[in-house]
Amino acid sequence: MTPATPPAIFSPMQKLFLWACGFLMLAFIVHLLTELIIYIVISLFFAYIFLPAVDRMEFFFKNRVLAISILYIIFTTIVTLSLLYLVPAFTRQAAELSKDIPTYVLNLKSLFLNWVQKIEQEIPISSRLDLLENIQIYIQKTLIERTTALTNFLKGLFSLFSYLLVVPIILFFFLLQGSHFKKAIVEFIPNRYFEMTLNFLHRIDHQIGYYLRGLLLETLAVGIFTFLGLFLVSADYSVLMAVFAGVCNVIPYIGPLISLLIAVIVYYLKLKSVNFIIYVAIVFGLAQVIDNIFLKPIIFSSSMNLHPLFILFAILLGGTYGGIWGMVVAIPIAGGLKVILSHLYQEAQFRYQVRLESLSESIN
Amino acid sequence: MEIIEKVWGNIFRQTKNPEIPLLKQIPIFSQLTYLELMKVCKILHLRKYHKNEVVFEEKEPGAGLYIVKSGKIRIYSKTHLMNKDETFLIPGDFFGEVALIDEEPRLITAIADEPSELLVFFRGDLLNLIARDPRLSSNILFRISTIMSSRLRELAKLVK
Repeated sequence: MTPATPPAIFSPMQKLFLWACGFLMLAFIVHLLTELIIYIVISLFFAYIFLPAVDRMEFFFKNRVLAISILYIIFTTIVTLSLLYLVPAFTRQAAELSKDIPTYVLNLKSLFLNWVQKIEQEIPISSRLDLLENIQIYIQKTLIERTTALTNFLKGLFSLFSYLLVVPIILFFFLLQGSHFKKAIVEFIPNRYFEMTLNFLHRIDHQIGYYLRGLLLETLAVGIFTFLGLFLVSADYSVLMAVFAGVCNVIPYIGPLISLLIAVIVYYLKLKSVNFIIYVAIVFGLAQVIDNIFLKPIIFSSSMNLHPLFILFAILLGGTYGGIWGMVVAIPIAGGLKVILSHLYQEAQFRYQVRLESLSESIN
Repeated sequence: MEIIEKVWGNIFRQTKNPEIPLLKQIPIFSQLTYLELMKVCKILHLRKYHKNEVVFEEKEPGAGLYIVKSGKIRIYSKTHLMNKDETFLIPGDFFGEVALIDEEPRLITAIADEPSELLVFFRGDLLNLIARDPRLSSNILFRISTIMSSRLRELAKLVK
């Protein structure tokens, strides 16, 4: 006996029309709420990071509100204490760096002087281009612009009072009632897709949470290891370079190389000593070894690897649409998207397989 | 015990959950305390089905355990071994407990024989519960394995 379907209320064309209307309305609402969505995305990000901690603390304290409050207190204390040290050090070092850039450029100039003279001897007309002067001015200008932009961005992070006020409130309710929200959403799913949706949501939830927590942990660990290493070899700009190394580490393969390259250039221009660069390279290398041998296998046990090119494209796109903020947010979003897409694909493939099997059985 | 729960329970808990007496009947939850049953109630999904609407079909990936709250559910199988064999489940019965443990395709088809209400205990929620409340969830898991082992014994008798 074939199961009868419930009587259809709308014809297929009407259904399509209704779906289209619904989609347009949703798009319009999303457009209206763009400002809000940023708050929600940031809160979701933190919710994913804190959720396991809250669950475990709830079991311990027997009360979720209490668990969240204690987590808030611990987190705020740690962040405030670290910021009290980190932010002043960071801004000071960034300011020093942007102040020192003209001297570095002068160093560069002497380095390039021989080459330029040779070129000018070979091709006399090029002397009229003022090659050296132009290069120097250009490099100096862009370098200073970049460093000040970076410093301003990081200073801006901590002056966003609206975020500091609103995000904890949204986050509180996400942590307290997240599962209720999900349940309420699932209630609207038709019975036919109910199990599939639940499975799908659960897996995505799990993987995104894993990925985001892993990413954050890795960034922190690499940053801290780099800072300790640089501190031990008593290098300047230790905080600046450590933050940079941590953030760059998010990009697989290329990221660590970029941070190493920039560190080598900066330290060479400052000290002009090859020995010191070897120390710096050892520090960065050790941080990578620790990350790759000890951290990555533990953190990303359910491996969720993004192709470096994919991440590069995500960063470029994020930078185009959201500036530095966009770049920072791009990678978690790309990771989440990949999880969602790969699971959709798996689900579709599984359903297709089942359909094929039942078809072949009915033919037999 | 019952009297104390009735007298004091009503005073201290404004929202007395109507599903708790139903859950008490089910072997999986029968050993849980009132507070633990409240926790389980919070993660159950309530679904409503028309007459002849499919709850799940064979070979679909399973997602959870269903408890019949009201109505009547027809369970049957399309495979040759159990062909043309069917059974009906009434309120207080449950089905699909194998899907709580693994994600393998369903062994049976379930169809609502009349307008029905089902409570769904989803595997993902059980997994989350293991992290949140290990004592409660291991109790539930133990009861599930008891049921599975008794089913296995029945099956072994049939095969003999």
